[in-house]
Amino acid sequence: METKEIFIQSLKNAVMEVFSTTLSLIPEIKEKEFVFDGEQKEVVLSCIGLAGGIEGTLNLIFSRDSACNMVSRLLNSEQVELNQDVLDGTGEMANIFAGCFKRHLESAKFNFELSIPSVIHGMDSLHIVKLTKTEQISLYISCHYFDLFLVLVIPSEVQGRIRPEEQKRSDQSKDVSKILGDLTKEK
Amino acid sequence: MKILVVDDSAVQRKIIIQIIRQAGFNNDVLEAQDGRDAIQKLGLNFKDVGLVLCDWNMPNLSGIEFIEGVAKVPQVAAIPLIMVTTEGTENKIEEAYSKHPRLAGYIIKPFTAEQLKSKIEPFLK
Repeated sequence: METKEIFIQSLKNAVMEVFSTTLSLIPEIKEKEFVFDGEQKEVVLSCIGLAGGIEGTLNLIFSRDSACNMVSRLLNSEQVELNQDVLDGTGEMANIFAGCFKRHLESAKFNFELSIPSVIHGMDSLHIVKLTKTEQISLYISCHYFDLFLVLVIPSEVQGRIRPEEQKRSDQSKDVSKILGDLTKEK
Repeated sequence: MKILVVDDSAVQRKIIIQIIRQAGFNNDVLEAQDGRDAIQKLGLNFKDVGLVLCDWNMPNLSGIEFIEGVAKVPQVAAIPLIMVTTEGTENKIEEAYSKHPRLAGYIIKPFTAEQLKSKIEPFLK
C-alpha cells in the first residue's frame, strides 16, 4: 500500500473509532477537498502539530452549529453558542483524533509526536493554503447531528518510517518531587 | 475520599466527572488543568485524595513529568494513579509504567463510559 493510502486508511479508522466510542455514532466519510461554503459564517478550526517521523498538522474544521452540536453530544447538554466549552471540546476532539491516528499508524512503523491543540475561530472566510512541497489529505465526515472536515497537511515526500530520537527534555520530575515533598511535609 | 482529575481540557474533565457521577460515586472531585496545578492540588489534599486520573499531554508540566515526580515522594506515591490519555502506543505505555511503577491503570482515549467505570470502580468501593 502506498504511503498516502496508508494515511487515508489510518485517518478513516481513527474517525470510525472516535465516533463510535466517544459519540456512539457511525459517520459517513468521503474524500473531499475542504472549501468554505459560506453558508455558515462562523467557523472553528482546531489544529494539532505532528513532529518527528512525520511533520505536519492535523486540522478539524467545523461550522459553528456543527461545533455546538458535537459538544452537545459529548457533554449531553445543549450548546447553542461558541462558548468556552464548545471551543475546548473541538480542541479535545482534535487531540483524540490525532492520538488515535498516531496509534493506527504505529503498526505501519510511522512514529511521531503530537503537540497540544490550538483552536481558532473566525468569520466569513477560511482557506487552508497549499504551500509548496506539502500535500493535503481531506476527508468530509458527516452524521445525523453535525459534519466536519478533517484535513491532514504533510510534506509531499513523507520522510516516514523513521523513529525519532528519544526526546531530550529537562528532568522536571525533580521539581515535582521537591514541591510535593515540601507541601506534604508541612502537614 | 477525593478524586483528582488532571486534564488541560475542561470538557474532558466534565466528561470524566459525569461518568463518575453516573456510576453512582459521589466523591468530591478536585480538578487540575496541568501538571503544575496538579502538584498544588495533590500536595495540599494528599491525605484526602484516594484516586488520581491524569492526562499525558498538557502545557506547563506534562502528565508524565507529574507522575514521575509523584512516584518519588513516599507520602503520595501509593495513591492510585490512572493515566487517561491519547498516548496509546506500546512505547508510551511502557514509559508511563517505568516512570511510575505503581501506576494503577492506563486508559486510552477515546474510551467508553464503561471502560472508565470498570477501571476506577475498584478504587472507589
